[in-house]
Parts: sequence; structure tokens; C-alpha cells
Amino acid sequence: MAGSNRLLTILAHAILIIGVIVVLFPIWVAFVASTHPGETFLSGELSLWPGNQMIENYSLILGKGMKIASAPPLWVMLLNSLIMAMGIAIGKIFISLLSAFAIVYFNFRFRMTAFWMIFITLMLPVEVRILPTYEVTANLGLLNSYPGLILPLIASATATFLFRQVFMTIPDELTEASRIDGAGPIKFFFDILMPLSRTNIAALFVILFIYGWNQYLWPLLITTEDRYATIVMGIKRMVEVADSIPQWHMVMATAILALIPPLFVVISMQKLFVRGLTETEK
Amino acid sequence: MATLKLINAGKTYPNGFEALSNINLDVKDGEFTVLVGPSGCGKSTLLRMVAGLEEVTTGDIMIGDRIVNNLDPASRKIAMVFQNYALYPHMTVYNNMAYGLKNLGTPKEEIRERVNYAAKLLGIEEYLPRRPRQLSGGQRQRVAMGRAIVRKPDIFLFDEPLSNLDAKLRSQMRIEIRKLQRELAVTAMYVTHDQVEAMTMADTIVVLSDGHIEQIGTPKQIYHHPNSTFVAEFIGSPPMNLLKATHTGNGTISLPGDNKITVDRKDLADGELLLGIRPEDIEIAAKKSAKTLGVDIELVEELGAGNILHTKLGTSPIVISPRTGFDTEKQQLEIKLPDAKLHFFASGDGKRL
Repeated sequence: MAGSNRLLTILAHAILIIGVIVVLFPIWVAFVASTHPGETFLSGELSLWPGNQMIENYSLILGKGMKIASAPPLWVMLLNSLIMAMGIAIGKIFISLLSAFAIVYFNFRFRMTAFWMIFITLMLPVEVRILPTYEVTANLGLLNSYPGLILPLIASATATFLFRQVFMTIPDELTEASRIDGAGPIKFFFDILMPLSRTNIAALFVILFIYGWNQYLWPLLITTEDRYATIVMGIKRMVEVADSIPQWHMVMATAILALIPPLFVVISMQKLFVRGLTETEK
Repeated sequence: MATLKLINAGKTYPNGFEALSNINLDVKDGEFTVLVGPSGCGKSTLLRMVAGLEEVTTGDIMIGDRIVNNLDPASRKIAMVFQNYALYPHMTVYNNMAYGLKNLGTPKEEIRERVNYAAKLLGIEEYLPRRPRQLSGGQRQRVAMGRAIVRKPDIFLFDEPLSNLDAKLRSQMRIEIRKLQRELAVTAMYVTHDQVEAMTMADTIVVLSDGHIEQIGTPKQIYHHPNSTFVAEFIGSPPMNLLKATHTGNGTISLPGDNKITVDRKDLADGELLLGIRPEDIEIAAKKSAKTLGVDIELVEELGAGNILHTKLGTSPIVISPRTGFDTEKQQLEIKLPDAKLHFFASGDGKRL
């Protein structure tokens, strides 16, 4: 392709490098700010090289939290976020696998109606249905609890739709072969469908984990107790402290720490993730 | 090992489409039956009904002395080999073959024994730890057969198992399947649209057309005594020549291009009929005589071992594959239609006369 043209190669690389810089520079600044004392950032003359306060800042935020911002120790918030993101990702995958399984492999009345009803909910993200969902959650007594954080976000039309498409690419003969081999629906689901959708499950897990990790509005509504605060909420809280100067170095340290788990998930599942999005051969 | 019986079996889809009707078939123990027909004739549907993958809407299917209409595929004691092999891509060859037995709760030791036996029989022992995608088409085909063998089924079902292979491998696997089936002495039902496969492999051929059985017979019967023009044209390559002809009484038959021949068939009614003769049954005459017909050569196909001549008798095309040599320079040819090799069919429904 353009590889033969030297000038184009250089141009392409230049654009890519600029893109990387645009993305990475703010993160670098955040990291630098988190290693200086709080005043440095506010002085307006932030150096571009890390300072000497890194260990102090991070251990303070991880261990004690920020009392003024009523933020609990960071590890609590990290744990909450982790539980919520994992709960949402695993729950969504499990439920949508099952519903896609039903829609593709079972012939029941109103099957297509069921599918379209699930599909239509694509148009109703959390923000749109937030009041009724809150009402239901509150009535179920799930405020300030992990189920309250997780359950309302679990149903997923997107994932159901995706798995439906995946299942539809699996040749009918495989289903028939497994019927002849004496595998009932449950066996077929666990022995054939799940392994064959492995890469898609991984891809979806990455996407859904990040979706869950980044949830802001819902945890903000549903939790009032500090011990259920999630990290994304925490950052916001730290920025808006009444009658005080924002502790930017702390905020930045939190932001950096908040980046790590999703980054870890992406990197560790990268191979499967890419295959899941591009692989077509079954 | 078992017999297979279809009694008035039929299949009508919920939308009213009648895929198969009135299928009566008796397959003896250890017999190799080939279902053959053009696409859409219902041959695969019939096989799938025996397998239990399609419901039987009328009639009965019996394996041994059990009516299996309402049994699910796993309890019919059948094994099926699919066109695209249908191997589980995420399992090793060993697990592919063992999966059915595992589901039956067979002891591990016995599974290993049976899988090893089948693998040895098929010469795929070294591939046991591999995955299907690391195998070639022919190897996958063997694994698919191995999966069928380990189940020790009463009946083997093959759904066009060779159509994904190249020509050379196909003829090799044809022989292997046949050998294997004889060795294991298992009743087999084999679906194909390839008449060569049907002719070479079958003990019994069942020719299907439009959802009904056109003819059942041994390959020889089917080839030499086709019941209808459909069978006559379908079996044999190049297909049988069919000429529009008129019987004018007393065994005199007028052919296209003002030609006449006399045959020893006093029973034929006067009127239009179709005269059939296989390309290889036509004899080339050295000299013009009262008994020969003159044809114009239009095209000669060179096959190496022989030729196929595309000729015209009057306006009707006739294909000849001569058994003897002939002068390729000639534009015209004198041919003889041997009496014993002629077939007569009704011009309306194409039934044999």
C-alpha cells in the first residue's frame, strides 16, 4: 500500500506520534502533579518532571483518604469500583448469553417479540430511566448496597444482540452433531457455545468492565454512605470541596490510581479482545 | 447393526410445503444404500428424518424393530457424518471423538480404547492431540468418521460427506468409506447428488425426485433398466440420449431427420414416444447400410482414453462415446443403434414402456 512511499510512511508515523502525545500528555501532567506538594500545582508553574512527594501523596490518599472531602481511603473506593465493575461485566455477560441462547436456539411463541423488546431497550440507557429505576431500587431496599449498585445496570441489549449474532454464525451442523452426541441444551451451552464464544466474551468483558468502572451518575444517586463510594465519585468529590482549595495533587493521584485497573484489564485481555472483535472463522 | 424400514414416511413443513411423501424403503442389515437426486429433491431431508433432526409428519421409521419417530437423535443409535464435518473446533481430535461417549457416561477406559481403535482404523492416531483447524480436509473427514465409529451405531448416516474434498481425494475416500463400512458391517445410508458416488458405492440406489422415490435398485438395475426418463438422464455421464420418435406400427419407429429403424417390440402402442440409448451403446458403422443412421459431427471432446462426440441426427443432438476408434477427419458418421440397448419411454410422463 502506502508502505512503498517513504514520505507517506513518515507522515503516517508523525500523525500517529502526535496522536499518542495528545492522549498521553495530560496523563503525564496528572502523574507529575501527583508527585509534587499541593502548592506547586496551584502556583501555576508546574514542572514537567516528577517531584519528590510521590510516596507521601500516594500513601496518604490510599491509606487515610481526604477527610475534608469526606472521601474514604482510596483502597475502599477502588475495591467498591472493582466489585461494581466486575459485577456489572460478569452479570451482563451471563444474562445476555442466556437470553441470546434462548432467542437463537429455542422455538417459542413470541420469540421475535421478545428479541425486539430487548432490542428496543437499547434506546433506553440508564440516564433516561433513572427515576423509575431509582424508585424500584429504593423500594427493594437496595440503596447503599452492592446489589443496588450492580443489578440495575446488568440487563444489556447490546450484549444480547452481540451474542445473538455470534451464535448465528455457529453452523447448524455443530448443533446437530452435538444433539446426535447426546448433549442436551445445558451441555450444549457449556460445552460448545461458551467455548466457541470465548473471544467474544473476553472482548465484551473488557468493554463492560470499563463501562462499569466509569459509572458515575448511578452510584452517586444510589449511595450515600462513604463505604460504598466508588472511585469515579470520589474524584469528583475531592474537586468540589466547600470552603477549601482543591487538593489537586491528591485528585491527580486518585485519577492515576483509578486508571490502573481498567488499564490492567485491557492489557491482560488485549489478545483475546482483538480476536473477539475481528475473528470471523468459527 | 440393524435393518432400517421406512413405511409411508412423509414430511410436510408447517407452511404446507410437502418435502417428502409416501417413502417406502427397506434397508437390509449391513447394506449400503445411497440416496441420490438433484438438489431440492428431499434426499437430505429424508436422511435427517432418519437421524431424528427433522420430524416425521406421516408414516413410520423403524430401526431394527423399534419405531423411532419420537426418539431424539442421541437415543436412536445412529451416527452421522456431515458435509462440512461439523467437528467441534475448540476440542482436540480425541475429545471430538470422545464427546458423544462421555455424554453417555461411558467409563474413561472404554472411551480411550474405542477412540484409539477408531483412530488406528482410520490412520489418524498421530492427530489425536491436534485441533480440527490444524488438519486438512481429508483428515477432518476421517475424524468425522471416527466420531461416528466410536459410537458403535446401528446405522451410519452420511450427508454428502465428500463434496468438500477435491476430486482426487474424493475418489480415494469413496473407496475407504466403502471398505470401512464392509469391514464394520454396519448398515449405512448415504446422501449424494453425485451419480458417480452413487454408482460406485451403493448396494442399493434410491433415486429421488421432487419428494418421491423414482426408482430403487442395484446400480446395475438403475443403469440398465431406468424406470423413467428422469432416472435415465440422471444416472450416467454423459447422460442417456433421448430422441423424440414416433411408433408407426409393427415395430417401425421414425426418428428425427426422416430416419427409420425397426425394432423387435410388437407391444408398443402407436404414437409418439421417447427413444433412449446410452452414449457408449451406440455403435459406429464402417459403411452406410440400411440399418445405419447418418449423423453430423459438431464437436469432439478429447478425454485421452476416449472421445465424446457431439453429433446431430437431423435436428436432434446425440452424444456418442465410441468404444472403438474412428476417423477424426470425418464430418459425418454412420451409426448403429443396437436393438437390445434401446429404451422406450412414454412421451408424456416419461415412464418406461
